[in-house]
Amino acid sequence: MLQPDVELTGITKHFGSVVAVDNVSFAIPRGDFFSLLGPSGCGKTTIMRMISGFEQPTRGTIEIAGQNMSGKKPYERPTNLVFQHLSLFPHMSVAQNIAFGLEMKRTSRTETDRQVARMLELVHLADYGQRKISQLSGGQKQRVAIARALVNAPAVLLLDEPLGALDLKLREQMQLELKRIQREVGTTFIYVTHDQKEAITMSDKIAVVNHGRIEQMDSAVEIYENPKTAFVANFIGETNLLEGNLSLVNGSAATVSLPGVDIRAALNFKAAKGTGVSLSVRPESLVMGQGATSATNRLNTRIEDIVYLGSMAHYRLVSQEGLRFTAEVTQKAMAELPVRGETVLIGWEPEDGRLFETRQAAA
Amino acid sequence: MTMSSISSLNNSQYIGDDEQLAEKRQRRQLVGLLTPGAVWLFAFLLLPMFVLLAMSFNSYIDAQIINEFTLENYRRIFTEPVYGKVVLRSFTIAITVTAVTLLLGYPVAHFIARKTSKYKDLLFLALIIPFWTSIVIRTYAWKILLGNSGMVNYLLREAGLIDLPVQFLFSTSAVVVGLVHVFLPFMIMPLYASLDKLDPSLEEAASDLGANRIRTFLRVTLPLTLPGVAMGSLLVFILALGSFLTPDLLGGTNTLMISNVIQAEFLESGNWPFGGAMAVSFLCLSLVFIFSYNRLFRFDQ
Repeated sequence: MLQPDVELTGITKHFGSVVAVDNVSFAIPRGDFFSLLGPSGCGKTTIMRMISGFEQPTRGTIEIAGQNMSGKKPYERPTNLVFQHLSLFPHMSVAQNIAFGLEMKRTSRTETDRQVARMLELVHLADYGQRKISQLSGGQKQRVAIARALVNAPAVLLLDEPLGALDLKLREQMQLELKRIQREVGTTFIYVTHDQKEAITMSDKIAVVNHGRIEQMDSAVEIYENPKTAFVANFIGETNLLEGNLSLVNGSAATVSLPGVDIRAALNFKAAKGTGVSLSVRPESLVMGQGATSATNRLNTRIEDIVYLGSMAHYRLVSQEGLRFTAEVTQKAMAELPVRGETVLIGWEPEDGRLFETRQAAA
Repeated sequence: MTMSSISSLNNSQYIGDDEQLAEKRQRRQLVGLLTPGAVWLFAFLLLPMFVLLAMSFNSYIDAQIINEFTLENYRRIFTEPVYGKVVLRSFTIAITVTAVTLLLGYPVAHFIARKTSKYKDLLFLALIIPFWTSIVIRTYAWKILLGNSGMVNYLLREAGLIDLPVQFLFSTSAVVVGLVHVFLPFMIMPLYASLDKLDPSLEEAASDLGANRIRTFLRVTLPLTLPGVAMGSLLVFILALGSFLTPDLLGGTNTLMISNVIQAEFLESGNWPFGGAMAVSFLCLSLVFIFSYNRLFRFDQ
C-alpha cells in the first residue's frame, strides 16, 4: 500500500462513562473514497469529529499525511469538513463563502479570485459567485459547501451525511457528482453515512461501524457478498436472518436445525456440532413457486403480504413452522405466483445461505 | 334554472362574503384587544406630554407661570451654554455605559448561550436576581462600597496601595459604574437571544476553514449577532440617557444629567414652562437619535 493519507491507531473515545468509539484502527490510502457506515449513534460521527479536531480521542493516535494530529486544533489540521447541515455563512455571498479558507491563509486577492472561479467551475456554479446563500436551492448549497471545503486543498475531505436533507432524485444526482469531483481533484474523501446504498454507490472502501467498533472493512462488493458478521449482513441490504444450531458438520457442509425444520448450509468457518448460528439468506436468493421444487432447501409458506417496489416486489412469507421470510421477485415473475393468503413453495441452495457464529458449542 | 345551479353560480360570491365577514371579525377582535392599552397610553403618556408641550410655551415671570405664548424657554436652552454641556455630558455618559456593558455583556451572553440547558436556567436566574432588589437600595450599596470609608478604600489601604482614601464617589466614573451595574442585564438579554439563535456549527465551520478563535469571532460570530448588539445597545443607551437616580445619588454637581436638570426645574425652581421646554427638546433629540440609529441598523428588516 502507498503511504496512507489517514491512519487511526487504537482510537477510543469516552463521553463520561459512555464508550462512543472503541479501539478503532484503519488506514486510508491517498485518493480513496472511504465510507464510515453505520446506524445513528454508532460512533461514526464521533470518529469524524476526532479526525477534524473537534473532539480529542481518549486514547489512540491519528496521523494525517504522516503528521501526528494530537493536540492540534481544527484550524491547524489539513482536513476540511462538509457539515451535515452545510453551515454556510449566511451573511456572505457564494464567492465570499468559498474564499473564507483562503482569506484565513492570507492568500493574495488575485490568487483567491482565481481559485474561487476554479472551484465554482468545478461544482458547475460558474455564474453564482455573487448570489446570496439564501437564494440557492438545496443542491446548489450542497455544491457551495463542497467548494468551500475543497478550495483549501485539504489532504482529507470529510463529509458528514451531507446529502441527508436532499430529496431522493437530487441525492442520487449529487452522489454521482461527488464521485466525479473526487476523481477530478484526487483528494481522499471520508464519507459518513447511515445510508448503505449511498455508501455502496460511491465508496472504494466501506467500514461498517456498530457500537463504536468497526464490524467489517472491505470493498462494497465484498461487504455485500461476504459479510463477516450477522450485523453487517443485516445492515447492508435486506436479509432473512434465522437463528438455529449446527446439528451436523461434514467439512464445509452443515445442517442447521431451525425450530421445526433442518436446513443445509455451507460452512466457511470451523465450528463443532451444537454451535449456535445465524443463517442469512438474501431475499433475491429465494426461489418461489415452480422453480423451488428442485431446490435443496424447501419450505411451504403462506403469503402474508406483497409490497410493490416498482420493478420489484417483496413477498412477506411465513412458514408452517412459524419462520418469517422476505422474498424478492421481479414484476414479470409475479404473474405466475399465487396471491396473498395462499400457500407457496420457497427454496434455496446451501451456498446461498451464510452462517455466522452466535455462540460456541457447549463442550 | 334550478336552485342548485343558482347556488353553484353564486358560490364564489358566497366565499367572498365569508372572507369579508372573517376579516371584519378579526378587525373587531383586534380593536377589542388594543383598546385598553391604547386608552392607558393616551391618558397617562400622550395627554401629559401634550400638557407638557403646551406648558413649554408659557411665560414664567416673577416665579409665576403666566399663560402667555413665548419661545423664550427654547431660546434659553439653545443659547445658554450650560444646557448644551449637560446634554453633551449625558450623551457621553450614555455612550460610555453602552460601550462598557457591551464589552462586559458579550462574553457573558456567549457563555450562557453555549452552556447546556441545566446551567442555562441557573445562570439566567443569577441575571434576574438583582431585579428583586430596588434600584435605590442597590445604588446606595455602591455608596457604601465606594465611599471614603467604604470597603474598596479600606481594602486598598489594608493592602498598602494608598495612604489617603481615594475619592470615588460624586464623579462621572462612579455614575458610569452604577449605571453599568443597573443596565448590564438589559444588554445581556438581547445578546443572548441572538447568540442562542446562532448555529454553533457556523463557528465550527469557521474553525475548520482555518480561523482561530479571534478571527472566528470577528468574521462569523459578531457579524451574525449584530442585531442583538444593536438592540442591546439601543436599549441600554436610551435607559442610560434618561437615568435620574444614579447620577443623583452617586454623582456630584458637575455630573448632572438631563433628567436631573429637568427635575430641578420642576421641583426646586418651580419653573414648569422651562422644565417642559427642556423635556420636549430632550424628547425630540432622543427621537431623532433613535430614528437615525434605526435607519442605520435597519431593525425593520
